[in-house]
Amino acid sequence: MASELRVNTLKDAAGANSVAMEYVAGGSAKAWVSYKGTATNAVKDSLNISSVTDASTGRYLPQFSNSFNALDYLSQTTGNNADGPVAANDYDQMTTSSGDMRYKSSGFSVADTKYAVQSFNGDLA
Amino acid sequence: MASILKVDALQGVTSAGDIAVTSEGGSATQSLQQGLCKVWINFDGTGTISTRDSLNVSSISDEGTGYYQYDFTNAMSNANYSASGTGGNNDNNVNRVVQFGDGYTTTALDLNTGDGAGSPSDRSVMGSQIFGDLA
Repeated sequence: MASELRVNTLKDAAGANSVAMEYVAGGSAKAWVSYKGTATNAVKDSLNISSVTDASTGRYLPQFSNSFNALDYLSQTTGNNADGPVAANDYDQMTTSSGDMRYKSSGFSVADTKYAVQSFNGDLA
Repeated sequence: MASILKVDALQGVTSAGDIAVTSEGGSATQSLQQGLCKVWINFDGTGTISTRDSLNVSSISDEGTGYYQYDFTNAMSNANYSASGTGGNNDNNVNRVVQFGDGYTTTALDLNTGDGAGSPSDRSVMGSQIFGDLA
């Protein structure tokens, strides 16, 4: 049977290591994705991601299953040095329902990367 | 009324590894475990490298200028996890390029960092975090 627990604070049984639910909810990632950006492209693992679009060389667009409530969420992006050493979030193109990962080579030309990862913190709708 | 729950472990009822939490806006639910950061580290990557603070990190090694590897205390269940890294210097706060190396395994992650020209370079403030499934 499903159950729902409403509390303000969690502590261990000794009464230590206190954490407010505000930090449990606010401190948890709301979406993350591990994506293979080279052939054959594939989502390796994810949370709250319905799909990833290979938009162009060095650009991938993860779509959220559940949207964020505003465009003020935090995104972090990293890639693999062998093929796409420069990784960036494109905040101008992000929406409440999709992220945007961009990768370039050391010569700053767009380039695919085999480890394309992005994580998101913020408030879901 | 404020409430405090004192426990040493939380488990889901239907599935031990899955506890749902309601979104801030109230229109979605999401797995608590999946959203938790499973590994993180803040370390000084210059000189004799040293860990400032960490979660689930057993050791860190200096693999050469701009090359680091840190090992997990509890392994990930697969190498499909989502990791991120960032680096900078205390002196000028200039962020540098941080990438993954080929060591992207269930027990360790390679981080490489370079200067603005792409040459390997040590950084005094290095950070990394991992989301995914623990074994």
